[in-house]
Amino acid sequence: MIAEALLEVRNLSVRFATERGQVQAVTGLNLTVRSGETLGLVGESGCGKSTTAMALMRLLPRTARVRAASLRFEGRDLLTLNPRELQGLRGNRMAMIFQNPMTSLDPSFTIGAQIVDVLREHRNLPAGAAREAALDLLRRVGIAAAEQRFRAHPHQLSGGQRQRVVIAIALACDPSLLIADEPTTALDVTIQAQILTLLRDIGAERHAAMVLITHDLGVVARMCDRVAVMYAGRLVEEGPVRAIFAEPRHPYTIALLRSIPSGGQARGALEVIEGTVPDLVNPPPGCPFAPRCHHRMAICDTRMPEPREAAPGHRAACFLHGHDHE
Amino acid sequence: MAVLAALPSTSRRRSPRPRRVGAWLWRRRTLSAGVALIALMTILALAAPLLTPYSYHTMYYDAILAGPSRQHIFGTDGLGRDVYTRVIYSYQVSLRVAAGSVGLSLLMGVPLGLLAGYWGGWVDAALMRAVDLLLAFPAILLAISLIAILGQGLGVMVVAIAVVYVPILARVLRGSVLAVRNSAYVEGARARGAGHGRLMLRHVLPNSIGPTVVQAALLMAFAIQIEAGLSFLGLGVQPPTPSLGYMLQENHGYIDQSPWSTLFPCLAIALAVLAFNLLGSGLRDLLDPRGSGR
Repeated sequence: MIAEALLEVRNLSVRFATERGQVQAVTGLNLTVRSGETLGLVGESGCGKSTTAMALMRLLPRTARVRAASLRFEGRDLLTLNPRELQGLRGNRMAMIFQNPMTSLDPSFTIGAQIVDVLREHRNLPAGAAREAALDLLRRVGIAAAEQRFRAHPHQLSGGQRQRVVIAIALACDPSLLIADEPTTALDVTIQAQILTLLRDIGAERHAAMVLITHDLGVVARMCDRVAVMYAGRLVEEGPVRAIFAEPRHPYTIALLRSIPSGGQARGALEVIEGTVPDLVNPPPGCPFAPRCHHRMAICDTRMPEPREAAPGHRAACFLHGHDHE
Repeated sequence: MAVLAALPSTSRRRSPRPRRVGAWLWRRRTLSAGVALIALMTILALAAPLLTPYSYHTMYYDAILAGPSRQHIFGTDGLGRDVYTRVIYSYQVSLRVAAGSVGLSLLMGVPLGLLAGYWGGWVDAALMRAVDLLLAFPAILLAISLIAILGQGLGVMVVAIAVVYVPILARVLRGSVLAVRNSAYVEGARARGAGHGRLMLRHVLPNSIGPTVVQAALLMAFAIQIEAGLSFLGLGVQPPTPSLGYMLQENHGYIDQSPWSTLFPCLAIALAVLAFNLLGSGLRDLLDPRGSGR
């Protein structure tokens, strides 16, 4: 693995102005993605995974306040780039795959035209060369009869095929970072495995680093080098996949791992995490997981634990670990 | 543009056999009938000098208020002018007003609706309040006031009707832009590095223009009626240029002696309105993704 940091996020906070007040969607997030590695970003719905992804692409709506000490990508600070420079990066150096392939392609254009568009936009390829490159991409993502499919409209393709096309578009310009936001959630289980395999292989082939957003820990185990676990807008644990699965430190991660259904379990034996996610309009001062935590201590309600190194490269934000009960 | 986009998916199965083409047209018979009727009226209007031996202003004093005959198939009016000739020349005015006013209002309404829907916020608020102001006036009254200010004539009538239509088209487009603006594919295109101009013109507009196109076709039918109405009131084109509404105005006094001179202009108006309504409904079926018209 190469040590150089491709993406470095320091102290990222995102707030949304809503009628109910300020929603603190992401708080003090630190993340590092190295070239070529795959980072899994896990957590339950509404924990800020997608918001983080959109913040990285600088695609959040105007109602969002994005603050960060730094948001460095390929040595440039994304927060200081102007809209035109950002457009030059999006789809080119950093690409995104959205959750629902049924709606993420423009229904008015053929899929060929949509791939050619990206290539011409960022690569300045002449029409003929762009067409050839697009056909190559379609073949590479496993679309049979690429010449025919090139002229197909999105509604003529199945969900799996569409997601393949979306992947082809995302990889068209050889991005160094691919952000995949629940890329298989909307697909059939049988197709999910195919798409994941494709993503992993093609990502490795093109040396693209990937941030894989998912709530499926099984996917993380198969795909990722490292995992970051988010809860209520904060990073609660981060480390190599093996370490997290073998020795999870944060009570939330432990609970999350226990709630995975495994094949042998008897029906009804699934573990549930009691309670609900805290309200992000008025976040409590202490650890956001404290109300649901079995190991809750007095300090948990008053202060937020800083992430501490539990093992090399493995950090957890919990008073149980690395904090000498200050 | 969405019309064009919808076509390749079906024409992709293009076959040289005319039976397929016939089937395609038959399945869209509303649209086909509308297009055919409009084509017929356009030909009648453009080729009018070739399609009649008479001129529209020559008076035949020996045949005043004559009924249909071999010489005058629609009869003659109170001044002995050939009604058929005057009807087909009148279509020149009707069609120019319909196309001109709707074209002009699309030219103004589409950018307004697109900008308002896409940007939202204060741009939307400002543009839509201006539109509300225009919508508050009754259409005919607004057109008459404009004619009173600007004077009479074909050009003024086109502008007056266009001003009435701009807010309607802008409203319709804004609504569909709002629905498309936040769709996943627009966001996807943005994530692929598309700028606002490109997003608006290439992704939002083609996917939201459908209802506006349908509305525009229906407004053309209405424009023909407004033109006839204004001409009937003497606010339209100036004589001797023939216009369907003016023909009714001139001849309505003879309606019990010789109904022909009013009947045929009336039928001509009805036919034109029907044609554009068929076009509008046909386009709606074609553009409706749930319909079988695709």
